[in-house]
Amino acid sequence: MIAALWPALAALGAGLVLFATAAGAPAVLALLLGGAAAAELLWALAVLRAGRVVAPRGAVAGGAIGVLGAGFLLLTGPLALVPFVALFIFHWSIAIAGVVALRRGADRRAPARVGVDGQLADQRAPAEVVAGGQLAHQPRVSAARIEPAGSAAAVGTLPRSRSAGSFTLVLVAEALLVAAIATPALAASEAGEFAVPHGTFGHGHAGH
Amino acid sequence: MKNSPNRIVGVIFGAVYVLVGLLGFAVTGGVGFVATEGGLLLGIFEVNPLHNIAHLLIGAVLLLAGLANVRAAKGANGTVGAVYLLLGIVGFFIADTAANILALNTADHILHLASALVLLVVAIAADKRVDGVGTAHARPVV
Repeated sequence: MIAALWPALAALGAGLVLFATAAGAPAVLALLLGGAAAAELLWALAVLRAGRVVAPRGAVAGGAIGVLGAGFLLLTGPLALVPFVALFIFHWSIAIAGVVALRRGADRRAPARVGVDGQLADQRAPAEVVAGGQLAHQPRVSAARIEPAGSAAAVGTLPRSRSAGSFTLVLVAEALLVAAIATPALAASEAGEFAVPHGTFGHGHAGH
Repeated sequence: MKNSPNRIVGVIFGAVYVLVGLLGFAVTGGVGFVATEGGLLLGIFEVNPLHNIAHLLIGAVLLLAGLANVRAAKGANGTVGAVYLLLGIVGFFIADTAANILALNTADHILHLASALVLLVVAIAADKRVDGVGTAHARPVV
């Protein structure tokens, strides 16, 4: 779960910045950005609920599209530099998290290719066999014992209290970082600058 | 309590917010109850008396829920997190207007957004298995 926290928080941050950018954009672009922001928020919720990076290939593709799209918006005008930097950081780290999840998935699958009777089930685990197709050694983990990604075993076997403390510390540190990146980007977006003219006091609700 | 991220976060954040609420009154002497320009807490965070009371109430809710049980902590964290997220987003839209009745500044927005993320994420992602009396006892804690 801890490994999945950052991409989820980054997606939440990116979603917020995209919503703020959409609020100040022309209608068609606003629809596109709003859709992308909604998708990022939904993906973040899915990651948090699953406790792992879901749809890692989509995360890699989405992260790459996010980086390229933010660059395009910066060059063509709708995006200021500060929101661009925030979107770049968030999407780049989402893509990296997707790559890491894919690699870990591949690593976990390799021993699982060996059947419980010791037969090679898949040729994509060459390290497990010697010439002639015989097993080099007994598989340490049988297919039935493979833990699902994101389970306690998948993230280590810390004692429960230590695991809860680590989770909390990492969560607080990463949330602070995301907030520190996202807030200036929100304030620098067109919506943040022009939604309410600063310095005017005619329409407030003071006294409530 | 140390086994539940929701209770840990609730108790720590609750205690900090109660403390911040109390300390706030030390820098808001002479500041109007809903003044848009408040005093600076720790030289960074702008607060007014209403802001202090909000901190006290929110801190009390988080602290009590965190001390009670996992289910209460999870509910309080999620609810307060959603409110803070709204405040973090709306906050910068109303800067320098009369609607800024909490005297929010940029440092406040960052803190509110960070608090929102922590509280919402811990409520969604941690303590997924809670029994009827609000005790988290499933093996995978997070």
